[in-house]
Amino acid sequence: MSIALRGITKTFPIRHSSALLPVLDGIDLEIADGSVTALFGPNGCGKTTLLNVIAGIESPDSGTVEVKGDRTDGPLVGYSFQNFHEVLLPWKSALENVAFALRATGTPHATAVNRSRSFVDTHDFAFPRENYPYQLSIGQQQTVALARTLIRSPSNVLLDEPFAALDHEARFRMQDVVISVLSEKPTAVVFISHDVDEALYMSDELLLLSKRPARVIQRFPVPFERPRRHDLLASAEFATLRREVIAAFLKEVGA
Amino acid sequence: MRWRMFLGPIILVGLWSAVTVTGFIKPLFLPPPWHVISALYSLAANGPLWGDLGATLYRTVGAFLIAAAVGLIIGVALGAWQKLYESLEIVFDFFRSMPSPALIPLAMLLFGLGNLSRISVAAFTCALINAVQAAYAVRSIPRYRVLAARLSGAKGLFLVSHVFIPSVMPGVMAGWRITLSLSLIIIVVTEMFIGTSVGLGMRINDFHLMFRSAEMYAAILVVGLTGYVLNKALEIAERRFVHWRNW
Repeated sequence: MSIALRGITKTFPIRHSSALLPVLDGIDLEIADGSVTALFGPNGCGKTTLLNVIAGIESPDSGTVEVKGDRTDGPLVGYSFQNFHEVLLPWKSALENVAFALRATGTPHATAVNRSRSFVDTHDFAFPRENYPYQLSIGQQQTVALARTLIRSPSNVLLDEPFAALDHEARFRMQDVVISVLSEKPTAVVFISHDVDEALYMSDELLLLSKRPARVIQRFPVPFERPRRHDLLASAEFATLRREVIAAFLKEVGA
Repeated sequence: MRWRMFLGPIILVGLWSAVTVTGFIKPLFLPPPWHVISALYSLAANGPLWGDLGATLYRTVGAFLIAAAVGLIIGVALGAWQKLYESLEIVFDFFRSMPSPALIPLAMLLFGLGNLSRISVAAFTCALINAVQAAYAVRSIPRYRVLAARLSGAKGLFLVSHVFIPSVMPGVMAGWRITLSLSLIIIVVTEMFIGTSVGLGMRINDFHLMFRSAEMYAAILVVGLTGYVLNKALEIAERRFVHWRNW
């Protein structure tokens, strides 16, 4: 429902050394209900660590994390890992992998499978339902993992490059699918992407992060009205905003 | 089924026939195939073959099952508890690297000349291998698989039965496949060593000492077929029960 981070710092121990590697350097972040924040920054800058901190998988060295939710029927946090290959259970069919999220909290098998089927059908998630993960293309695998994260409508959703394995067309389609699923209930979303177009298209605010250790360099509000369509990407306003983001990014990476 | 898979055995038997018919190799060292087949037939019809096969299978499968159970328990403990693993690594590697026939006299000393000796030597070696396989399987459960399952709300018994157990099954079954073959090998060796009146290993040794080459080859053939069938059976089981093992 909402996420608030204040002054988050995080370091990692360096192997064979007593020194510490600073990864997050005082991150402030506030995401209200029903809004999407995109994190954009250089490779390896600490974006995933930031998501792990929000998810409670890693604890910050200092700063406060506040994640609120009020759903009785869904989890506080849903997290779509970049590493979907590890996440999928290869002994379950694609549909059963989605149903796993329901079964994990006690829904009986038949009900879970039926609800999963109607969820993926309604929202048009494109993958063969009965195939095992190893029989799916890598893009379909990622789609299954995404459906598994979203089916229980978490109050807060963390998406770590959720479309990275998709081809261009499927990517456009899934962007709209995800936005439509998320807009059914008020949800706070953090979204990582390496693609500026995608980051802007999906988000209400884009945060440009520095090289490691990550700090927020600049906040770009993304004012385009919803529902959006992909011809937005061809508009002049979009191009202007995109140019600003790219310019700030290039300045940071020193290119 | 492709006909080509039978080409290898046909060529082998053809060569075998050729070198025996021409007298290139004396029948004492290698009797022609049909002598071996007829020896096999008479061993099966009114000889000790079935008793020997039964005894060897009983010992092999017995040792295998004990090793599977013990190895799994120890392996899971080792895999789950890093400090235990570190403390025992050298001991495990030592015994795992030891050729198991070296332990046969020790087993005779401890357990006498009966089945217990034979089975314990095979079970000991195989349990170590299973334990190492299981420990490795536990330790290589993907981190994000568990994290994601927990975030989905999975916990307790559900997590164990839906995530942990299937995750380690391919590694554990790979261990079973190794140890079923190995168990047969060790049992046959112990049958040659440790005094017994029944068993394929003992029979091979006996026929050898009596210069009954055709029967000796027949018994060797049976041991070979037994190993082949056991291995194939587990291979089929693997494909069926851990079809995702190459994921």
